[in-house]
Amino acid sequence: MDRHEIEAWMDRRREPEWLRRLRLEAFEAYERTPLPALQEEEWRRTDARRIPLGRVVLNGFRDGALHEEHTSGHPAGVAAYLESGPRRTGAWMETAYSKRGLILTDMELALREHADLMRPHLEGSALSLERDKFAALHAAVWHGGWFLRVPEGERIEQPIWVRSWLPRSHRFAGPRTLIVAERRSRVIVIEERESEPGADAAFHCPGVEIVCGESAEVVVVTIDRRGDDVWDVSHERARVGASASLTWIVLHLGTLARKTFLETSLEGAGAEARMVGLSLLDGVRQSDVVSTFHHGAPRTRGDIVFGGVSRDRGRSVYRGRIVVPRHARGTDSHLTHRVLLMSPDARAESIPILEIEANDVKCKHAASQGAIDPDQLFYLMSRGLPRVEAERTLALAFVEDLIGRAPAGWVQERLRERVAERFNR
Amino acid sequence: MQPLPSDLEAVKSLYKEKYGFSDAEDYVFKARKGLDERGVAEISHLKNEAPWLREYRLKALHVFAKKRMPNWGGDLSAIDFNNVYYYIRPSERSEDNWEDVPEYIKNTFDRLGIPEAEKKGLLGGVGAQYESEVVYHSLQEQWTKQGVLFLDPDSALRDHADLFRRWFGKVIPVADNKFAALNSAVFSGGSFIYVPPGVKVTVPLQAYFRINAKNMGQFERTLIIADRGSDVHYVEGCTAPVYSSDSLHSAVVELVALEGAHIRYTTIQNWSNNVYNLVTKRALAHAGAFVEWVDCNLGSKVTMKYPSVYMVGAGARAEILSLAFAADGQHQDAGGKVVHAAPDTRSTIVSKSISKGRGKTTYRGLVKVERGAERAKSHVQCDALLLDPESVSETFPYIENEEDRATLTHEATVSKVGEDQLFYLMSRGLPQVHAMNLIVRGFAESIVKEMPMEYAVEMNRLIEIQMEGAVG
Repeated sequence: MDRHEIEAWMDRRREPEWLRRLRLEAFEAYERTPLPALQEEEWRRTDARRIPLGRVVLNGFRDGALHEEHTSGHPAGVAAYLESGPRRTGAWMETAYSKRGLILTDMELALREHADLMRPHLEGSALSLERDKFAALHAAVWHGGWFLRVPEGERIEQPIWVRSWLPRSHRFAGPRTLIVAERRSRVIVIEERESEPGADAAFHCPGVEIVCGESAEVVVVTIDRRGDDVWDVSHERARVGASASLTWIVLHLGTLARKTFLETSLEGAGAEARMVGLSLLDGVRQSDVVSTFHHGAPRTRGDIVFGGVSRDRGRSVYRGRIVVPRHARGTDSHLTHRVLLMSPDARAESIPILEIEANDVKCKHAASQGAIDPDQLFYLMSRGLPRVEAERTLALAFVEDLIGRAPAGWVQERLRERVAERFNR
Repeated sequence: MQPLPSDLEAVKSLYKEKYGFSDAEDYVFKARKGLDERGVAEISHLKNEAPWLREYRLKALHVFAKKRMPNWGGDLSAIDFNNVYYYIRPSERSEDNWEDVPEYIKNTFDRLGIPEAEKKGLLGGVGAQYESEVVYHSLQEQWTKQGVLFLDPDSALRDHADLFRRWFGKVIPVADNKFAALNSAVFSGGSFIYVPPGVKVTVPLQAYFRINAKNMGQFERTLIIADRGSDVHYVEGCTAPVYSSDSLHSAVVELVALEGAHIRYTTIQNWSNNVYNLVTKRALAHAGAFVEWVDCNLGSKVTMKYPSVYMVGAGARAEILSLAFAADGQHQDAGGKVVHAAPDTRSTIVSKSISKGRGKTTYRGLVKVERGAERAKSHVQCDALLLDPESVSETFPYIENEEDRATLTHEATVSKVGEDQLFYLMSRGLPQVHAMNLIVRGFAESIVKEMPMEYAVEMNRLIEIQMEGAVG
């Protein structure tokens, strides 16, 4: 892959000049940035050399060929629905919302029709190129993904549902997600990521950006059910404005190996963010998640609960940082990491970190790791449950504590269903 | 109480008055500054060492040169390894009679109050190190009779070479880290303790370390072996004059607790604010053994020190209590490491850090559970107290677990002094400065109370000195 190839690719995609410039800058950063070394603190536990960078291709995605709208079947009880992939198969929206300016569409289409809305966010992207080689790669070659914009003051009661999927033929993907919730808006959006497993390893390098305007109330739920052949390096970032509130729920059920950066910037006074995360690891799957809560303004509140369940040879690493600079007076931030190890070959690492430069703060973190409580197991077995069944029940109970933090109803049901599915495999 | 000075200069002058004075230099031998093979060989020659130890030192020097400076922790960029005196011999030999110690050194230790506790019979033995050498060493007769050894390393090498060599460098190998390598190359002074099986030394053994010269490097080496079922408590303290140029202190401390033994190692680190304190401390705990580190860091410019316990035998226990106080210009990067390498091992780490002014405290810790360490249990508790808006605190705990039947918990909090607490005390008529002192002492209490009375009193006094000028 070289500069000419990228230029030709952008020509085919008929991309605007400002985007071409962004991509070329990013490509330069990609070329000059070395692979993260094992000595780098955040990459000590995932060997970047094993990530199949050779999968990166430019012509693998849609190339902007698709225009026509399909309005095939959509699930009941949602405000809007989108199937996002190399070919569009479904998109639907309650008419009242589309009239008032709610936008939910593929990135390719959004670039043509809503470039003016997206440009400030893409140009001022919080996904820093300097972060690492993969962030630069994503910024250079991203394609696909989706765009959600909730107009100012729009309060949407039913959830918005997005299904992202990739067929077997696509061994590389770099989808970009942009969620913009304008001032005083309210939205719940749930995305399920899926991919069709292939014969050899696939490489995904997605980027997610969530922008919560002043006083917005936003819930973002991601359920990752991609195939067990996927190597994933993902940079996801949320910016939370003054008095806004974000609940970010991340459920990791798929992929072979992941390196995920989840960054939450509390940028306005009184901003609030909650994060609930769960990694379910089985087989030889491994997960390395770095989450950062950056309290960038006074009186911000943060609450993170991250859980891990490892079975078989599953291995999880969780590094959670709370950063409070000098001016962030009145910060209140908590982080909890809990791990359940269900087999002798399972492994887990917890690295909760506090970096505090202000003194008018309340910051706490806690971490615990352990096995299923033998007393509880004995109790269930004495009631006639076979061991496997009893263990599964207790593991689901462990998970339930996390799911209970999601919005009640449809979202919780969906999470429960997906977890049970994975457990029963 | 006497009137309290209320600014940084006053705190400095208080330290200077109590500990920070210096003696004129009247040394038997002072090596030139800098570090090279010739200098290392010279130390070995002066000490009349066996060839194996000379080779060991030279090998360590090469390892030191090859290893990179740590790219984490405190800011060490100002250390100039060529501007350090690596070896200064203040007197001809280590004395076992206080009266024979050179007059000016004796005066120094008298002024620091070191012989007092010994005279009162509160200690089982005392060692005093001045610059690179131990100038005084004594052990009460009742312990020598039972076969306890409390010596400086040179004497141990001379009289108990086999025992020394058997354990020396086994807990902390030369290549462990850059500063362990440095110590292995130029070490001098420190303590060697051997406690025979079943012997319980009921009063603490104490060592006191004093740096006097400008740009001095002190590299003591301590090795403590507690044989089966024995018990020993070692206490160390240290001070240095206040200079405008920096000194370097880089010790290596190795502890071996054999089956069922108990070692408690207490440190009250009160170096002046121009000392880089980069120390490697590690213990091996065999089956049923119990090792405790009580590590208090109040002085120094930058401290990087993480006492650790490797529990290699079933049922071994570890406890690390770490107290750090960083005032303006100080960075205390402290913590602890525990490695569970055997079943039914248990560990606790409690860390209390206090940052004042622009002081910075860092807790850095590791709990590692290796596969097969069934039913291992560990609990870590870190609390940080920030006294001023500019104060900084960091917490970096690492938990690495390979054993599904282990139970590990960790908790950390960071907060400022509670306004309600302060208000309550002041409403009872306490001036703010005393109220703050009380709250900080209360915060440190759980660690200070683990010390013998005399030391607890001393600790509280040191905290008070650090607290001077905390409120205007």
